[in-house]
Amino acid sequence: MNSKTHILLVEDDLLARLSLKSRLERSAKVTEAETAADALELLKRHSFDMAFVDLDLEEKLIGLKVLEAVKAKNIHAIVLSGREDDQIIEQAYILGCNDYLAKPFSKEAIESVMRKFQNKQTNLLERLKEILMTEDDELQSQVQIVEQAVFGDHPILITGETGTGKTFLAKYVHELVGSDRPFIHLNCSEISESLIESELFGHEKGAFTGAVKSKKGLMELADEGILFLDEIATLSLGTQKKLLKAIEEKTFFPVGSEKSVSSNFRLISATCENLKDKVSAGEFREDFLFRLEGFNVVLKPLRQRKNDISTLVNFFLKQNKRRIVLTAEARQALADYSWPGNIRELQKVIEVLRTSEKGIIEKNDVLSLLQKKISKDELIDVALAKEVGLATYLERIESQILEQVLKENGEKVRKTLSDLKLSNNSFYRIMTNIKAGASDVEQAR
Amino acid sequence: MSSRPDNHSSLSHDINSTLSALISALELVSEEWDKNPELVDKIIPLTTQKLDLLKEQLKLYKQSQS
Repeated sequence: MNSKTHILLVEDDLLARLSLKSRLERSAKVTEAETAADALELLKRHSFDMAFVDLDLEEKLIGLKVLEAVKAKNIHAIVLSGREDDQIIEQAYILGCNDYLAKPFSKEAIESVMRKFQNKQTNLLERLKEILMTEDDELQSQVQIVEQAVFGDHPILITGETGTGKTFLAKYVHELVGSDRPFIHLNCSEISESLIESELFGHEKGAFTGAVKSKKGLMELADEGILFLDEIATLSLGTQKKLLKAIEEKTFFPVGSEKSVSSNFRLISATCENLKDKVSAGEFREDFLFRLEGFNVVLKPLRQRKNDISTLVNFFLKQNKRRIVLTAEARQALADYSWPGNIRELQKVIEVLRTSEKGIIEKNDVLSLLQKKISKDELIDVALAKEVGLATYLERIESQILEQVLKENGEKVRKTLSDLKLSNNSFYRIMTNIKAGASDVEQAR
Repeated sequence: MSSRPDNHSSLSHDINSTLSALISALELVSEEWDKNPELVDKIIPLTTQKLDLLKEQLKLYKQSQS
């Protein structure tokens, strides 16, 4: 928080006042008042950014009078009270309090109201740097884009490999613009082509077989909030066209309905693919891309921000009460790894290390864990490659991987394309090889 | 008898306030005992007094229930 933030703390209980003051002073200047009279006097003489007001001071409920004076000066006000009667809570909100904390409350409640206040401040940049835990210049410049984007209604496109924090960032934008608004998240690769329109636009009863009752679409549910479309590159050209019209007009027709529906949603989309390449390949509409990238935020993979790894490791280590220690060599081994699964993978590795019986984690512990992952992912057979030729060998590997992922995904093609970041053309080429291979085997029989 | 609900609600309010002060104080002690012993020295006696007050309040609450 800005160190110049000035907080007025009005609380008659010495212990409560001392504890809260000590906590708040870590990030702000705090002036305390024991009585309403003192508080009213301080309000006349000083300017404050925020106030914590207990309702019962030298007289019962006299804190409401202080609250009134605080709001008259347009100060962000938090009421603290052991009273839980709805009438009093309502009165406090009518007077303009921003949050009402019922006693007893914990430090998390204080941290939560402080976060809310921080988010109201304009200095979002520092906050974003803090939560992304990065010192990387390039990533910080992307953070500036988010800062510019937050308080408008332009679409935001987030691009980055899996595990780089795309969903996290979308949720953070939602928190900044108002977490009481809807946040509707759809992973486009997880819905089949035939269902995606009804999912997005909704449908009328009887619009298609199985539509036994009318259903609101996600676009309608996202009214006045955020519609987050993840893996947007997996949408078909036909769906892109319909979505483009709906985004431009903020109006659409549910499947089977002649009555249009309006929805004022903010679109955030995310992809791990290069959409410009997909446009060149004819797999993505240029006009749709143009509409999506009002603000384009690119999240770097972890292997390109190695200096942040140590900070992230420390953060994940502190997420659990069971603390472990990593030697300098172990940390270096983590820094040297390529992290194909990015931050999500790093988090999982730390979780696994934490379950180890050892309290001090050494280089070999890290290497053996990473080696298991590497050997599983990167098993190669040089002798076979020499025997059949590199091109044929690579074709076989491609086919095996595709068949395996298709099987894992229950033969869902769209999800498989998305998981493997594969274009339609490449998919059909490999499938043709697989079929040709199968037919060769049949003929040989 | 007519004032009993008021007394009861006032007592609940007092107990909530006392608990709140105790929770805040103990959370702070747990975070600061090694970094800021002077602060902890100030807080501990107040916490002890507050704990005695809580005992009294809970006794009154029990009586009001019977």
